Amino acid sequence: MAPPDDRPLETSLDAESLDSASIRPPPDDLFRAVANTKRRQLLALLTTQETIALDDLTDVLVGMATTTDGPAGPDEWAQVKIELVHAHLPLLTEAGLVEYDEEGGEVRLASLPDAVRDLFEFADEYERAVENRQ
Amino acid sequence: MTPTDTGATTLGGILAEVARRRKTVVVYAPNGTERDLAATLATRNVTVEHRTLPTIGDDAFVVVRDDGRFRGAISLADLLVFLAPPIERPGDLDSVDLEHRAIFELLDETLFVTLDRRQLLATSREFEDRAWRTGRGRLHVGFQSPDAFAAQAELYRRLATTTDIDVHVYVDSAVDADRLDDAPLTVHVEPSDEIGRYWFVLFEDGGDGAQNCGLVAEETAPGQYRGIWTYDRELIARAFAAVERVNSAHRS
Repeated sequence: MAPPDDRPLETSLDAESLDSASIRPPPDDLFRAVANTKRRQLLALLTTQETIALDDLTDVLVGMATTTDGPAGPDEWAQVKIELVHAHLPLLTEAGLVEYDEEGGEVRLASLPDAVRDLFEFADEYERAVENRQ
Repeated sequence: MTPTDTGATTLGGILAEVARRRKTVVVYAPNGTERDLAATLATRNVTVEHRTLPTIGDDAFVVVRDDGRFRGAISLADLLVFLAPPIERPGDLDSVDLEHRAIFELLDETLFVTLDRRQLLATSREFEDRAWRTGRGRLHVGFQSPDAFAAQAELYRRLATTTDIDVHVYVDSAVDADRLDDAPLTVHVEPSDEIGRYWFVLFEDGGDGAQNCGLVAEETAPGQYRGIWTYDRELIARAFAAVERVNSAHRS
């Protein structure tokens, strides 16, 4: 067996950052949220900008898929938007990770601990790193 | 019938009308990578916007919107390959791949000011392929040069002989027309200037119009063209009318 590594775990997770945040999503909800490519892309995107309109978000998710799946048309776009509205956004809002203003069509990240935001960035980076190795 | 003030009952009028419409192409890419594309697309009637997303990395892509509606998305890599001449000319009618077809539809009705011959040829081949696969309807084709006609004459003979398509070919010399004397198609040998200036391929599928397509281009300088391709039924019908109107006026 390998000797235990006594180096302290380097994450941004400390009591202070967790306490100062208003929302502490339950672990199961949090990890279910990042267990899907589109949701990882969405969450990583939201860590870099305040809000995004639902249509723009759909553009980005459809666009990202074109680098592997080829060109997409209005049918694919409508499909992704339906998926967002009926599956991904409800799951993310119930987990308290995302706020979705249905009337204004705006999506924004909830006020989350830094460690959770870091997780979203990591999840997205990890996925791309793995893809690039394939 | 009196032509309308807009001039849109002529091929030139149709080109001018489409030139007034604009599309928006949003390029999602890291800084700097979009310059080639902006330079290429600046010659078309599109507005190019650039947005940077930190999470994109190398996976740059573009989104085309038309009057605020999503028209399509394509990876930047695919689009640059498509736009960079030379476009590979399909060796036979069945080889036009699906990806190209998707890009044609994405950029349709986008006026191209400095498109070159090879890109127009690829579009013409795509439309001839559609007509071939449909096998019925009507196809009107105008050749601007004797060489262009010579290169395609056999294909049109085959189309007219082996399908139910009503084929009309417009050429500007009787010598050229002799090539197709024995084929079951209509050759118009003395087109007026109004038609002779244009390179056009117009197809109506004779059914629900799902396969209709049209290309109209005008040579602005040797080897340089401006023109459109479209899948819009109404626009195609007007292009047919423009060609037929001039032709019948000429005969009478």
